[in-house]
Amino acid sequence: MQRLLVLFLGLFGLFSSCKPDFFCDPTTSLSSIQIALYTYKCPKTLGTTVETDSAYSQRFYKVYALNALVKDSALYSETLPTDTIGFRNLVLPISNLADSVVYVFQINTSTGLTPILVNDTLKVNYSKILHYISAGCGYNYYYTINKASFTNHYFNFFSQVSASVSPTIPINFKFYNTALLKKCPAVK
Amino acid sequence: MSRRKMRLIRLFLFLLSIWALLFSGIETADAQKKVLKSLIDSTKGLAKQYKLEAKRSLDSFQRVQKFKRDSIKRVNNPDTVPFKKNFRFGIDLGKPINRFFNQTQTDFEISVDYHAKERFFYAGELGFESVNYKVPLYYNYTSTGEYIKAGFDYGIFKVTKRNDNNLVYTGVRLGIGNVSYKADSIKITEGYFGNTQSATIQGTSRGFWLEFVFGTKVEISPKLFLGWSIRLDSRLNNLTNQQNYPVRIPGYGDSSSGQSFNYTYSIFYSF
Repeated sequence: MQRLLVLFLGLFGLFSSCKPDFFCDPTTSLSSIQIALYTYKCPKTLGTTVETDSAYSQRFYKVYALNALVKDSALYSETLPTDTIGFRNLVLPISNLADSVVYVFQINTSTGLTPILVNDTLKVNYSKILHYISAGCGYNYYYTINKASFTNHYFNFFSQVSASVSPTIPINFKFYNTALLKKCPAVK
Repeated sequence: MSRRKMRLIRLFLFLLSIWALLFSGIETADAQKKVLKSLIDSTKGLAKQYKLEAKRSLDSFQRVQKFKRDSIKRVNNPDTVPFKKNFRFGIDLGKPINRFFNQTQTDFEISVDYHAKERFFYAGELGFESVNYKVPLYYNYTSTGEYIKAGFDYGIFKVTKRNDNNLVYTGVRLGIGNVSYKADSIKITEGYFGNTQSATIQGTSRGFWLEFVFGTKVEISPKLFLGWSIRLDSRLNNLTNQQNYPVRIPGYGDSSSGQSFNYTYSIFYSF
């Protein structure tokens, strides 16, 4: 009995220290459209699947969204110190007041001093629902992409991987640039 | 005079009668027949008596053997001592004490168990929970609700001493919790577009869960017990599929988690 009583008192101190956690890690609460950049690579049989995608890095002259608070402010730019070798993935914010957003991707195709820009635009229509994230972060919107259209100027085509936009969804779109495609041998 | 001596005397008399019959002066056949018949009758009576006595002896021998077997069994596997079927009511002291450490939550729980069999108890809890978060710049959240849990406890150890009412137990509960909730002043800011969206949500929900319990109840004075328990809860319905759902389910905890851990410190009184 004495042992049980001691155990009782010991556990009392342990459990009394339990408190809710109000810390918020913003990276776990952000809902952003995520784009991964790909080029084709020569088809290669890996087991039973044929792999054709290959991630690559792209330098952007500028990536921005229309209707930003600071007009045309850059989300990504080769002039920013963060861009040294380009990006494989782009994380793009969504306006929680509107139901659509347009992103502009500018690529400098010139190797000289004067930039020659090729623009691609991605327009996304979406709907939103309020979602509880955590005690610390509170609520945020999760979005569902209803429609997406792309101009296919520099990137030859795009594919939609997931319509859900939430912190747990890693990729929503893949942009493909087949200009980098080399001549491939025929697949046996 | 013992029975054995009586039997020997009867046997001697029986043999003496036969000797007298054969060698005495009885000459007529009828007289001999009568004597023989009376001898046979007395022999039958004796046999019947012997049979009855043998049966009695066998019965008493069997009774002694059974008593012996039971005694050995009791020594090797002591049975639980007699118990009283009674109710025990408790109040969870941990919850009001925890209020000093966590002022966002107010809850209260009473429990009851009924000692139904040697190591088997019907058990249940009834509780209330109120939550009030204020997270500056993000949201305010309030909810109130109640819950009920019902199931059973099973004593892990056999009670081998009289008046030993201490208990180490494991058990299972089925829990149901109702909650009405409201989140207001929800601020969602998007820096790039400069949007700050304000929203309010409210609703009611019901959660179901299965609870596995391990704990002790120690008798600190006659009929008065102190006990703790740890509880692992497994959610049975997923509320997060809904568009809006409560932050907490009373009696369970964080509604977005599939498992929950709880504990109690209770004082009990046995009737």
